[in-house]
Amino acid sequence: METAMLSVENLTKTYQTVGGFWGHSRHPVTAVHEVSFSIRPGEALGLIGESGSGKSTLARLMIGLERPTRGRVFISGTDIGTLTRRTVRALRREVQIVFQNPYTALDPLMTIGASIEEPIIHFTVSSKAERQRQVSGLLHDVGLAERFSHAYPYQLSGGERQRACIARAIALRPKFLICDEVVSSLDKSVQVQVLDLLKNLKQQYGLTYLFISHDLAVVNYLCDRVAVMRRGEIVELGGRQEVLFHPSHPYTQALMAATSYFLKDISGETRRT
Amino acid sequence: MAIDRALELDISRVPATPGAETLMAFCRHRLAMAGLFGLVALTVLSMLGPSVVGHDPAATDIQAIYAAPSSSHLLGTDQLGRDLLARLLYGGRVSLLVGLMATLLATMIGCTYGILSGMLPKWFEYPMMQLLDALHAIPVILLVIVSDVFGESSLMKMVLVIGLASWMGIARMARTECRRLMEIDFVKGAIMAGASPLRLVFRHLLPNMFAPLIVVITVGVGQAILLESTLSFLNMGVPATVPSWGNLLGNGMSSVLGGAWWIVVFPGLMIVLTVLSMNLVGDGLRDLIDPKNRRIC
Amino acid sequence: MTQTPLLSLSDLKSYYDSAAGTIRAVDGVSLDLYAGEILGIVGESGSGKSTLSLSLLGLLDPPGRIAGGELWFQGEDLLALDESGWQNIRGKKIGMIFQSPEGSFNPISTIGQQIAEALQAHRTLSRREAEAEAEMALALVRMPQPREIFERYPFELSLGMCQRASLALALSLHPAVLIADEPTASLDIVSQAAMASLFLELQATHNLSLIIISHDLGLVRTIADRVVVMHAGKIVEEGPSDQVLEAPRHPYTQGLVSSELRLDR
Repeated sequence: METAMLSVENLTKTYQTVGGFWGHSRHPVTAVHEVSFSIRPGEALGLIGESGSGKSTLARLMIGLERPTRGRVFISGTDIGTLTRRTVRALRREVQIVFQNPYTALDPLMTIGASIEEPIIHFTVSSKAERQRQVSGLLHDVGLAERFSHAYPYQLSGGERQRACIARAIALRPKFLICDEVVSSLDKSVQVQVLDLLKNLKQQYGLTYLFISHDLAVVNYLCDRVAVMRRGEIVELGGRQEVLFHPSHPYTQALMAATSYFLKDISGETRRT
Repeated sequence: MAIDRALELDISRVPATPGAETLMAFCRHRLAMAGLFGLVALTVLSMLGPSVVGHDPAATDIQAIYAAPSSSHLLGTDQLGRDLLARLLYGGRVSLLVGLMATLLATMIGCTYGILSGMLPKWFEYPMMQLLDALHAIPVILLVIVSDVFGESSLMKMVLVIGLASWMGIARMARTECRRLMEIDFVKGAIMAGASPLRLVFRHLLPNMFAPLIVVITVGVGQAILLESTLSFLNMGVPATVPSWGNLLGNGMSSVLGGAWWIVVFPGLMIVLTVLSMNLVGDGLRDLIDPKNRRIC
Repeated sequence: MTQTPLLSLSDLKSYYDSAAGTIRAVDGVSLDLYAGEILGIVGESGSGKSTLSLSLLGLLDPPGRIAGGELWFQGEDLLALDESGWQNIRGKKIGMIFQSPEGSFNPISTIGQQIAEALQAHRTLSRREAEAEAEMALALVRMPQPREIFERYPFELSLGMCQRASLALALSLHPAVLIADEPTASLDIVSQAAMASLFLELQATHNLSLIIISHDLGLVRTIADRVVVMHAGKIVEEGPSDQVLEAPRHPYTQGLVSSELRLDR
């Protein structure tokens, strides 16, 4: 059996909420509870769940932006909990993330070019001209014209900003990319374009995806396998066809029923899948 | 919302060129230029002051006690017949220096403290904020009295005392902004992009917290000048023999009752002018840093 | 159709003035809404649909302005109204709900109190009467336990529940028309479906007249009787929603429909 690109074992994250006048009433809130799964190289795993289900916390645990309360995260077989500060930095070259809201994911005071250049500056030794060449290559790869390099985020549309964020995330040629609700703040008509871009990049760069979304249609479009998360736990995990079209867990069934509510036939009847 | 949207669609088709436009934009910002002109003028006049006016600020003239503004004494004289204009310009050296230097000091301490407490793990933050509240509660006067232990009052000590007494507001603002920014995706993105803590501070956090900070800072300059005035008025500031705007104001208080309004009005006006100029420059800098305003204003 | 429309726009123009020139956000839009009808306005962001909804509610603030056209509601010329005239219309006769339900409520007061206060502000009601009506409004939007929701604070409700409460707030004054700007965009899919079926139910039982503004073709297809497609401030296509959204004729609408992600395709 080949090593998993990424796997998590019994991952749990508990937050302490502090309340009361003296900050005395503390009670724990479990955001992620005993989650285990693994992702094979080159695979796209979809993670479905509504807001507050813990999927964004899970993403932050997986890239080391937060530390788990319990459990372990392995990337290419390495337990990232055992890494020192320096080796965590090395991890950043392999694992990157694209955030949900392209309006807050880019520094408003930096040009798009400077934002994309940032990871290259930090991780490689290269001349200014070399970096510029890389930035224009990346812009080309994500379907943005070269002159966007000098533009500021506010001058771009949501779709264009998200493309810029993707360019920045793939600048270091990572193997694994976490997409946290990357299309949910975009117009439906722009969503497909961004998803097509991600599909192409997967081919071109041989990327592995963890694709987080609340939208079943989006996950269906891009993913090979699907996990369904609810209240911090994974309730169903399996192949795309199986989970989406023959769901076994009541929660997945409810999601699917709600989604198909909006799939009306020309005759006006609600279609059941 | 809609207008933003409409504007950005429109402008995004215009290719942007970085660099030179920044300076151009500041020069086009008329109010900022006016503010800058005001500050430079005040500084230059204070430097050259006494020699330009042709009166010695310390020279008394028994013939002209409480002389109203006239061609020989443009702004009149005080109770010892000293030329007010000369004293005002000379006093500007003290007041501007104290105002600007003390605020600079306060900004440096405040930003460092605020950003540290915003970036360090949460359990550091709580005691740091408690300490800040405690420091805020210490009356400035107490600080001044304690500082008397360390020797004669001097300009340098004045800067130190006022700077140490006024950084807390800036620190609180810096911490709040820092916490807010740390939660925003682009800061997390910068961490993911491998940015070191220092780069995070100087490239991402400080520029993005400039807009709210500059307001506090410019107000701070005015407050520092006034604080110096207050302390001088209470004989706790610069030695009473050295004219500063505060000293002039203080000395003039009793004279107003005798009808010599100019002794108070002109120093007051100078303070207002300085604060106003600072505010205009601050506004200009804030607009300058925001790329959205560069092309529109 | 011989029936007179409830709300009628003809050649409405809403412009924004800026240093960069005039932006024609809504550029000559004509449409009619009839009683008991659900009309969908579809478009991408930047198409002018949100500006249109602000114009319908008299909420277009400078630098925006209405540059021309007519806007009639129940025989009244709305464009001739001043702000106090609008206050008699807005909320009372033309209700509204927006994308984020939290914005409709004051976080430090209970849901029921706020609906009751809104009622008392517009009509002379005793406190008890207002509270009873508020509870009825909550029941109207199919709140499972209206009495219990009445006592809750906004933060204690899920987004879906909160949006439903804001619908109750909007409907409590019995407006003739409801304008909903992306009412489901911030909700999870299960709440979206519940909200959509609620709109359909209210149309059937209470003859609700609704203008629904959304970029979600699935939502509009499911609940709207008629749809207009907006692009760059103009209406590019209109007609029965099944026809327009299943077999569009205009190339722009065709592009929109073909880029829609659907599980059944």
